[in-house]
Amino acid sequence: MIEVENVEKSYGSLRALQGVSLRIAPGETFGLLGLNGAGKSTLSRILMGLLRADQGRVSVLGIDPARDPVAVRAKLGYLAEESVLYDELTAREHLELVAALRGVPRDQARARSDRLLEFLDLAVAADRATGGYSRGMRRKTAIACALVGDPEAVLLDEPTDGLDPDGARRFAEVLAELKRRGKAIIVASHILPLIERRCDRVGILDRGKVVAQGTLAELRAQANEPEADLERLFLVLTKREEKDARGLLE
Amino acid sequence: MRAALRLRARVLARRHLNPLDALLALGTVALAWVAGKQIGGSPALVANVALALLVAASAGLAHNLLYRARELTLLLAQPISARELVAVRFVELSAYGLVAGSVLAALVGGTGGGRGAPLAALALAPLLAATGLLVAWALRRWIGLALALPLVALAARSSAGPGELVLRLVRLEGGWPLVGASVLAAALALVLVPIGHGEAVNALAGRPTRRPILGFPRFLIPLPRTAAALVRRDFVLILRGAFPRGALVLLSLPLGLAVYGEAAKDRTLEGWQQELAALMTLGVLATVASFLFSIDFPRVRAPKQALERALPVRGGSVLVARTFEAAVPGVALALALATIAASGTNDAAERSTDIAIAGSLLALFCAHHGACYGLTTETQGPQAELAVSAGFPIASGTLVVLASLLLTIHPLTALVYPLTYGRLSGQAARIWERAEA
Repeated sequence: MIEVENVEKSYGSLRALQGVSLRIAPGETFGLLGLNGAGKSTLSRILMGLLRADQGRVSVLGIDPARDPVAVRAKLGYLAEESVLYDELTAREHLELVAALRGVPRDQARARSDRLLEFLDLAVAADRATGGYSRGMRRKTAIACALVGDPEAVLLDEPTDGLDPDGARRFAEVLAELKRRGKAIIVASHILPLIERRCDRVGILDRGKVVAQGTLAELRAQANEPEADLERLFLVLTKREEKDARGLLE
Repeated sequence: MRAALRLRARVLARRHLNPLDALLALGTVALAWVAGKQIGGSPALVANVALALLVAASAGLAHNLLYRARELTLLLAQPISARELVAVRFVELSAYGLVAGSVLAALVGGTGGGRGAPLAALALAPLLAATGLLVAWALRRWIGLALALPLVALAARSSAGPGELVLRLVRLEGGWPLVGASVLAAALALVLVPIGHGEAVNALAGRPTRRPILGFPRFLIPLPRTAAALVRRDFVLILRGAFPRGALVLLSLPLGLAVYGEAAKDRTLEGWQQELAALMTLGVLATVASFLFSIDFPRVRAPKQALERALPVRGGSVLVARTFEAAVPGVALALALATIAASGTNDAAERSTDIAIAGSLLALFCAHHGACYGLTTETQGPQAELAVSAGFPIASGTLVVLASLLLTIHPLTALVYPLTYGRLSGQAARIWERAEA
């Protein structure tokens, strides 16, 4: 169970999170939807113990990340917004490194790495330095790094960023497998179709506040738009208007 | 072109115009001067080999700047011609060449008389830039062959040629053709290198990423698995060029042994003075090694911090890893110092075992102290970089002086270190684990 209660976080005068409350059960896929700068990455970093909340309570699988960040990181796999990789290391070396730091036995790590690389279509390039990888290949390597430790829960920040259609399809299969294995999954993204298709519940984060959360049906009820898709719901619930770009470049 | 020059000047200034880089450059020039004094044989031959080495390095850098650099995507998308791009790169390489030329001039000047060293450095800067560009252009897809240049110079064992000209210019005994060669090479580079630039960029862009050649065997790191994984990552990254400045400084650390080489031959020094001189020398070198592994390299790796920080790594493991990394060159240098002492005067030779033991302990202390300092200050952000870098020599210098004095009295006084500095470990590990990133 991942619980966030009334969390506040400010950077100087900027209030990045304001009274955010969420609850994600094991086996649930939770979509955290918000525009750039809405506070998704700040919340992700608080869950990982990389930042401390100014106020509120956070519990990740029964552990307070501010008190014991290392214990939280041992249970939670994290895919950062940017695919942070060492350009000089290969994809396989990255997986070996992450597995070693997560305490995965060497044989198990090797077998799991091979399976991940194969499934994500990285096997051919696995022994080449990631500095020469395309953006999609880097993203797949980062996804594999988040999963190689077989964590109890995963936190994926903009997971499909840079993936081609085939990569996105494979990632969707990975999500399904994680769900089958009963893991709590948080997908932070602004890609509406991904959230709409793959998540059990959705939380809409806007300017640091959760403006709505629930299943798609519950969001439609909140917005009073029974037929709306997630894009329409997002605009209604965040009170945003569609804009016209005509004349922009005159 | 002016905009491109301004852009690159701003990038380079942000990257290199800092007290640390200035200190490293000046330190390397000073070490080169000291090393020059130790050179027996032919200084012109040494100058030839060193010049070939620098041209090869310049060619490698030029190859990257001309055909592979990431910012080429930005630069080549602008209305800038190949000729203008080469001119921009020539200016950039000349700036690097000035530092490299100063090192070479100091090395040659150390052999005896260096009044013309500044002039030689000025002449060498465009020469190194232009020859680097020309070699990179000529070899293009086979740039690895540039490594053969120093080997050829070494095999030729010739004292004639450019090395002789550098030597004469440094000693102000002629060598003016070097200035002419510099101007000619610059003109040739600016005319020839733009030819076929677009095709070369295109051809090299299609080249698949390589399987890395250099690795680091796991069995050479006798540490617990987490710490060993961190050490292996760092050593592999250094071997593959992720930390070129640090690698260069590490490679040049043995030059510092030359400082003690003089003391070991001094018959006026008593045994304890010999040992103190050895330990003080080692303390400086071990401090540099510890700075590289505990402060500088983590700073270079900072953009990748999110990867390391998101993993369940205890601060203790990072501390052990960084202590080990800095202790390896430190202990190796201690043993090298003991070897120099063994071949020195009787008093120095008698103390060589003491120097080996006390030196290894001192290297270990410096490595541990640096690792603690690095972990405590690592997450203070770029605004604290200068304060962190400036505070380190003071903190480390105090340790080196006190520990050298105590260890000269008796190796068992090493026990004072864990009593006084031991508690730093836990504190540093906790601070690192809980720091916001």
